[in-house]
Amino acid sequence: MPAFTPNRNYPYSIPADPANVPEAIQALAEAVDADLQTLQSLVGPRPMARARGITPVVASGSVTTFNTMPMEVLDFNVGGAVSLPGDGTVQILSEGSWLGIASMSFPPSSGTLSGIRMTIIDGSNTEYADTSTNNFPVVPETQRTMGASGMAFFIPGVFDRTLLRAEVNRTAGGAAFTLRDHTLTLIRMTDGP
Amino acid sequence: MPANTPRGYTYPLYGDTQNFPAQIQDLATDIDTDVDGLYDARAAALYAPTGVASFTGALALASGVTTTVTFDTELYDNANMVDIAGAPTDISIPSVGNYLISASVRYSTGAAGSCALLVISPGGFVNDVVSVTKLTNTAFPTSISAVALTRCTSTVENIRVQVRQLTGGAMTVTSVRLQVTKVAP
Repeated sequence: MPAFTPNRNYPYSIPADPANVPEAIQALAEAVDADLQTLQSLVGPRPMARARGITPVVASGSVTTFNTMPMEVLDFNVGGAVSLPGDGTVQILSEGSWLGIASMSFPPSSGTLSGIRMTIIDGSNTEYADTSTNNFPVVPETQRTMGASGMAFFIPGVFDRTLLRAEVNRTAGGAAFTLRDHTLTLIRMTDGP
Repeated sequence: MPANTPRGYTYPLYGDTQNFPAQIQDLATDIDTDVDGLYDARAAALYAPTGVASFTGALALASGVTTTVTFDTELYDNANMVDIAGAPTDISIPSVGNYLISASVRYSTGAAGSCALLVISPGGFVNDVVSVTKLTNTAFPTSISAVALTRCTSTVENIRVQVRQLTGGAMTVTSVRLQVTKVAP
């Protein structure tokens, strides 16, 4: 009846065991082999992904509008870090604290725009990154891009969605305004709580 | 006299006294310690020291006055970096390394002028970590976000957020958030 090491449970013979050196070495070798195979499977790149939306989003109607900027494709998805459920959000697939970096492009306005805010929202509808601008491109500029970053904690199945939201503020009766390409890059910084 | 592999695994030599149980136990224990250390190293590598704090109140800010933000909420802390009760202005650095720092702040609608977000490490290796200044918006709150990678060489470094506006009038600061996470030794 072999004994086992304290941490990894590797078997080794004790004096009372039958003297079967090949079998004892084989048992130890196989236990170490399996354990290292497990370790190797755990060693991988840090989970990270970049989601992108390319369909323009039109802000119209009310003076202030809140638009979800839908994420439609994944430019990269290291280690299967996230998925796109199809509702415009990004679903985080492993627990931890994640850094989100967002960008959003917008064209020249017709002069009726007073402000744009871009926020990254977590699964509890809390903003974890926030930026705004009232400085808009002017023709012949074609567009400008704003960026924001922040961190939030995600638990798959509990709080695992994140999204990009644009708040557009226009003067009353102002023309509709179109928001363009937007990205959300996510990098997991901690593993678990 | 047994010998050791470069990783420290002990094995008997030809002339050693034969004691197979003791020798295989020695080898198994050495491998056990080594592999367990690799598991720990992997876990540590993915568990970067991280602290996130926020200010959720309303801070009245006079024009031309630089003010350090006092945080009121700890949002995340896996390395004793946030101490709302004892040091509410700081996220402390737990170990030497490179840190990714991001911060955001929201200013109320105000008169024409400018407002700023400053992230500092007073007395640190990089004192002025990052700062961003924007024109204020007279019809819409102004939000500022900043991100920087910085080097911290001492465990007594503390990261802080300062706010400053130059409009000639009063403004209110809300929704301040500071995130600090280690990305390299």
